Amino acid sequence: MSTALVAFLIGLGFGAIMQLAQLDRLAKVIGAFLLKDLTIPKALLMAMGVGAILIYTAEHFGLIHLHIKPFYPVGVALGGLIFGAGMVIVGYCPGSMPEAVGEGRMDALFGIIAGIIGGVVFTIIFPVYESSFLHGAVIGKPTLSDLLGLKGTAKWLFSVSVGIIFIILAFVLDKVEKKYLNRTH
Amino acid sequence: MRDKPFLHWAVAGTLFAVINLITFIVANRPIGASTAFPYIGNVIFPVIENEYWKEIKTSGSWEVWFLIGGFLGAIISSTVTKTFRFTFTPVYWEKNLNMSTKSRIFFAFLGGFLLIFGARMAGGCTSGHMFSGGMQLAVSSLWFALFAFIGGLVVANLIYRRRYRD
Repeated sequence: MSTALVAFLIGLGFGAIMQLAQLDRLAKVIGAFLLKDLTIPKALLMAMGVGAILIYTAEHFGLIHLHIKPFYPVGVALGGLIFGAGMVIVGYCPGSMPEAVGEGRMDALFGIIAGIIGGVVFTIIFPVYESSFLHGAVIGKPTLSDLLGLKGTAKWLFSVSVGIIFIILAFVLDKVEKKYLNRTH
Repeated sequence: MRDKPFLHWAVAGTLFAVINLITFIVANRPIGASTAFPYIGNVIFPVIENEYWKEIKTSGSWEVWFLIGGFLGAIISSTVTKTFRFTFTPVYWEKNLNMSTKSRIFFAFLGGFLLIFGARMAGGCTSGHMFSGGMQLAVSSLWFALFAFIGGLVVANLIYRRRYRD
């Protein structure tokens, strides 16, 4: 199968799940940051938890390689702040805007167009940014287990345990949400 | 309008994890979305002679196909479940946030720009950093998630808090 077809088919499943769980809705994004509707944080923690268990088990048995992004604390933090601000203003994520348009939310189309312009502006600035203090030094590509110096079985068990903690946290958030945040549903 | 989602958040989260594992196995890469935007921009404006293109062309084209799939997936699932609704302004924007219809387009534009610019500064977005990176327990991605959350909380409180009503 061609690479493009594989990407397309994976996207098909991804988009349907997102739409069916309403994770592509503006109300869910803004609701999360107003601490009124925790659907997205809960789904995120659940995915991180189950994912950590699956990915580290597959990696431990040699089925896959990890793909860790480089850690440059200054640039990642600044980018994260701008990204978070942007997410609350547009009401969508980069990976949820096409789905939002797909279910008829045309405001997300303006987000996509602006995102492409943002991508072009970033392309122009990239050489300056990459060598500036705003990007800062790259400190390798560590994972949590690397920070603790864990390897082999210890790394696997540690990562699976963190995964389980994420899953528990997701359900704790659910309890908190039901009890304190929105008594309306 | 409090319609319940067809998929429970825990089921959706689990399925995202499974899809990411499948992507690792069959595509030897994680899921990601934000590189698609500068990729499309560079295809539309090929005049830019730049260093960035060589860094994003492989990921970018993969992510464009991925997002085309996502778009079609949402069309199919929203049609099947009869949740497709053609609007320019979500009901929530006017009813709960008490914002004007006109402002929606402006906000969508401003936010979309910041969203992709910030994601490219950090090297990933919700998909690549938070989901895929988060489940690999990558320090960079957890760090990103923390700051994205802070940025979002601050701006949500500045813009929407006063106007919000249930």
